[in-house]
Amino acid sequence: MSRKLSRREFLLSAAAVGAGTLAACAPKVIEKEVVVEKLVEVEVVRVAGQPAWTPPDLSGQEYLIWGLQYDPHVETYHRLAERFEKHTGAKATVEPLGWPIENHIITGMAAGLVADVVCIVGKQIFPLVAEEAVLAVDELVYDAIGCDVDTWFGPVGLQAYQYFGKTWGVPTEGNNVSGFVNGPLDLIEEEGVEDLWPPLNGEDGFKGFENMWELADALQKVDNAGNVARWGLSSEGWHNRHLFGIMRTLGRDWWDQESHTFHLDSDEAYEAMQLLAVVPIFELGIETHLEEAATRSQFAGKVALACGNATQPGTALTEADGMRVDNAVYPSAIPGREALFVGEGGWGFIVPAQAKNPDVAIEFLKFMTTYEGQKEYARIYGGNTSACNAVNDDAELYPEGTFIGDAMRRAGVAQKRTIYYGSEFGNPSEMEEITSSAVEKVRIGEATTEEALAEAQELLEEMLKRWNEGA
Amino acid sequence: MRTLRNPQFQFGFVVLALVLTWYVLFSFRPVVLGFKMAVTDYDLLNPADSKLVGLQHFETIFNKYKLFWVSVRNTITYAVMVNLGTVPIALVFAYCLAKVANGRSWYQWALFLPVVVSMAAVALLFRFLMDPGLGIFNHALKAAGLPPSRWLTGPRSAMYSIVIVALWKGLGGNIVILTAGLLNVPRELYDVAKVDGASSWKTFWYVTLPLLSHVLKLVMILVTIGSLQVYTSAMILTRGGPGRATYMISQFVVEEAFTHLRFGLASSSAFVLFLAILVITLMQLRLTRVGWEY
Repeated sequence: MSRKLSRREFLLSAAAVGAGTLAACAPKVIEKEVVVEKLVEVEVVRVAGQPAWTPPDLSGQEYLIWGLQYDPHVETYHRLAERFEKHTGAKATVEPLGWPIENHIITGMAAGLVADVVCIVGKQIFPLVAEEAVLAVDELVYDAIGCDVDTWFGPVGLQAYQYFGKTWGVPTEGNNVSGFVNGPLDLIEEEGVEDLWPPLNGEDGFKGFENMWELADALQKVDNAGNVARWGLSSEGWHNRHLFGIMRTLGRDWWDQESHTFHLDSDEAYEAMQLLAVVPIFELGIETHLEEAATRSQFAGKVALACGNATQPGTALTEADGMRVDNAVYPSAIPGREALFVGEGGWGFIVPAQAKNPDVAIEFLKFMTTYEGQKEYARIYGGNTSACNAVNDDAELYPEGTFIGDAMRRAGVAQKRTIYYGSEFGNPSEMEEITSSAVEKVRIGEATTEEALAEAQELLEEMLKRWNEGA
Repeated sequence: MRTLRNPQFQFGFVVLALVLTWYVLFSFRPVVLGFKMAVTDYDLLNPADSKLVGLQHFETIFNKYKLFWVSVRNTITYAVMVNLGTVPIALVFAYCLAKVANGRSWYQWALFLPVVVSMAAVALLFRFLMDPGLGIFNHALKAAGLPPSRWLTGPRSAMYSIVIVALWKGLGGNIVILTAGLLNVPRELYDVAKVDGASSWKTFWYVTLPLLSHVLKLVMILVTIGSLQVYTSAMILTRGGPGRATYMISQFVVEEAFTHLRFGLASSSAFVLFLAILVITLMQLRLTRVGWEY
């Protein structure tokens, strides 16, 4: 006679099977070894305005660094931590996080668990500053080590950390989007159009948009069926920075800091949109709307020229099988006049208001203000535009006559002409969504230039109104 | 007292208490806290200092947020398209499955497989398939002599594309539910209809459909609720673009909360979504009420 399974036996067996299944499905924890390059001894450099930091003895103290989960960043954090430990004896724990980082900060603070030092993009700290979740560092860091921030740092990197009349962190990165065109040297040589790539002709950048378009057209590839196999150009990814930069070159700021007005409804905005989106896509047919950022599309071979990122040359060597990508300065909207740019700032370091080891964190930020700290960070991606003016002229970091050195030097040329968005218009992230969306609508043919700019102007004014009303 | 000492009652009480505790902690309490956030100027770091603002957030999103209405329009468009696609297609498949004598479970298994695959994985897969240049969909269209589509990169085609993904992913579950409903229709009624000389179409319209009405109502309500809360597919496939063509209300909520740290506004818009789903569901229940029963 068969025995029936009792309820108790069934529940016990089900629990055992469930627990066993969960244990079997648990992912294997793979410890990824972080490779820290041998630290380069930093030669003592006497630079005008260089901050004077005296490392204190912090032996036995520990602190926590949060930053981006991305290998170049993680390696950089470890290098910086190792340098700081050499100077002070304080030991760091590095905890990389997924994007976006500000969410981790705010939720960590709400839970009472937050790092002592956080590496974060300047524009992302705006909502944290509004929530009083970040320490102001004017007195704690800059005044304490005698740093004149306006001469030590370039405007675009610094301004991304300045809100409500104070500075809230130490920038380490200048701006590396909107002012550069990345050109694939191998392809340019293969197509025999070296005379159209400015750096190979002794120029830092394109004289005008026509020059860039001519090269893009020469590099565009069409297959036998008449379909475009490789587009000549892509500006995908940082639309609004390009738009604002072209407007600035034409003589009109997108945001008037004095009168607190937007100028997306101006003639200059219209002309900028034509140059950025309408002409290359609809008149010349050398560009189309792609899902990926221009830099990724370039690596994938979908586009030739990317209006992309100053760090593309270094990144290409590691992430694109050694592809040789060069930097040229973005063209001027008025041939003969220097191109001007508007950027989003870059990465840097902050101290959360609820840091458990604020003294160690402040000393770390002082270290990051020094030439040594800035230079060590600038090694990221194989070469990066530093927030520190002096570091961008460093001969060891960007040796003249080397591929990366010359590319980053040209990136530095553009960076010197770059300012940050501005302030007191509301949340930079929200502004970016509105203005980038306007450019995108024109690029995909969803709206005319007039319609897209009018809508963006309306949404920006709505945003400003809410900002002024305290929403 | 005898009931309280009954082991079956005690067992049932323990199980229910555990489940209710879980729901109270992780479902009801967050809803109540969410409403509290919606009527306060919520200070995440010092919640006790949050000031009561009443319905100000609701007034702000209704009157001062054009993007909110863009997201509402897109969400309703998406929900209507998914409903119009899911119910008829699922019904056709279920009707065919109910007729299958051998191997029905294998067909159901194959149709249900997309349901159990993670939406994130599905979305990434379709991003590759729908790539305008390299995706296999455009290659297939070209091979058939049809013009290629821009799929996720076109302002109009983007909405259709995410609806297609939703249909592919969600059809299986609804087919299984409808098949079960169809198989529960008494066979005698079909025999009677056959004896009375009813055609296949009349049998379906006058016998099958009325008896399937409760199950159909369930499917429509579930699809409506699910489609109004769309987030993962739209976020991974298009991130609300291009040009906000697929910007949904759930994305508006997430952006307000976790990008702009405006938890009060985010909670109020989530509450508006909750009320909208409740009203629509009640309307569906009312409008699809059957006036008769066999």
